[in-house]
Amino acid sequence: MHFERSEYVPIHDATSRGTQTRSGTVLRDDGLRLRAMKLSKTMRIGALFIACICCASSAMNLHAQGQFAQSSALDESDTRSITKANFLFHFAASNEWPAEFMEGPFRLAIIGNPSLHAILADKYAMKSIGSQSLEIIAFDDAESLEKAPFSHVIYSEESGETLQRISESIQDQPVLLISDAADGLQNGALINFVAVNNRIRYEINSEEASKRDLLIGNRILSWAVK
Amino acid sequence: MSAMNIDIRSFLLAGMLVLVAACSSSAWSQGEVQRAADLGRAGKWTEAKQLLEPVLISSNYQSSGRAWFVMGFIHKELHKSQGEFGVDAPERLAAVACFQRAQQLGLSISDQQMASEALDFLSRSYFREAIGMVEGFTWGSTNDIIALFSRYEALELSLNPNKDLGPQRSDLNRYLGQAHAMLLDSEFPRTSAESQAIFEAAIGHYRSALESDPGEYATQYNLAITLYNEGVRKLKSIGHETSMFELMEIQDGCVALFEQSLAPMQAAHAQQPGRLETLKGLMTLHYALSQKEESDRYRARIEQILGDR
Repeated sequence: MHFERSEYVPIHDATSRGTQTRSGTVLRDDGLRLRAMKLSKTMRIGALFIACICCASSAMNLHAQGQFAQSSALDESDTRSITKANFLFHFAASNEWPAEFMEGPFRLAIIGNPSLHAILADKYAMKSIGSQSLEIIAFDDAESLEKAPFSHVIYSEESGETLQRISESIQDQPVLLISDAADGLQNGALINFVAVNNRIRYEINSEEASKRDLLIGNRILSWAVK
Repeated sequence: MSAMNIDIRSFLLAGMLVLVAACSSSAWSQGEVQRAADLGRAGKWTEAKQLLEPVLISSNYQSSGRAWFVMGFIHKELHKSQGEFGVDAPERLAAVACFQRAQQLGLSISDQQMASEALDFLSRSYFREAIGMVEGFTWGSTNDIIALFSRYEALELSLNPNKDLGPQRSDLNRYLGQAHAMLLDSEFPRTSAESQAIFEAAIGHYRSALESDPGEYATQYNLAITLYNEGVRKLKSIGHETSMFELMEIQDGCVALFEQSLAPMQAAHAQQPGRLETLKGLMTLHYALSQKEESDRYRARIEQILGDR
């Protein structure tokens, strides 16, 4: 009976026990005793071949385990923009505009946040607001807005005077101006995103909304922090 | 007196007959072991098994270590040649049982060494199979993987009771955690309940891995990423039919996952402060938690490192 030790030779498995080099000898049964004997040339070539196969197999095994040694991939999606996009859709869908503005396309304009525009376009471009089809428009800056057609909702991350200028440019129009700035409401935004307990929430300037003939929906009002 | 002599002679004769019968039976049985060994030497493992198996059941060989040792090799070779797999692979189980019995009964030094090495080989075969199943992981195979590893553990500890298998168990749990996380990332169709179960399994394995090896960087990092990615996945599930209430509820759930992710990410960062992937992870996490200043701080650190290169 041949009890070939070559089967033990190449094991360098995940136990990290190290290669047990025993090549060159093979143990065989000699009556009741097992003893080592020199390998013939043919057997040595055979053993080398087996060792190579086993080493390759071992290497493949380690390589395969390598995929687990690698780190998982971080999802690089813009989480804040995803959340804001969902809120913006609800702001568009849950408020009421004067009747004459509830015809034709419903325009939602994004100033200066390509990531947010891309998410909105990807998720909501084919949707409708009431009976109006939703159009999502992107602007590089506030100046570009002046030449653009009426937008029902404008989102801008500008603050201070720039935000104020945007607000003034749409002063008498039923436009829901939304911002994400500490001084958003003071500078004319009707809804402003704020961070509360690590979450994105929003505050509302209902008074200003009424002046613009916009009726903020109860569902939107009930979740506002201010 | 003569009757007594006849009784003694009869008794001695009967005793001699019993002795002769016992000796011839033993010799016959010894011959079976040798013949089985010869068949094995010729590669006829099935015939060897058919020859030796009935003999082992008889009382003559119940206490022969050598016979069980040879039977162990026969089972082991049959296991290899049949390409058996699975925790209950019968030839492998039988081989282990035979070798262990042979060792208990007593073996020569060389047989003892060979039996130990054979058990070691069988033990590692359980380990390799467990790892192989993790590499080709499919949902629902965890119990089999754990069972294979447990067999490996039990065998290794029987060979070396002082062996510390904690790091290997930790590795296995980390691999299982990552296998589940990869399944979550895949397009494999599943219900939301299944997704949740896979996610919880991933987290459970990572946490188990950290119990036995709390300082493992990759486990900390991967745990953080899995928690964070699950939050993002939930966030992405929001659609136009999601109500405002659901939106708030989902956001709360996401933020809870992001917050849970922060601790292991910070732990990984503490171990390797200059590593870009954890700096990026922290920057992203703080951003997702609306902590802009913190996020900017890590962004600046990343830019500094990249600028120095």
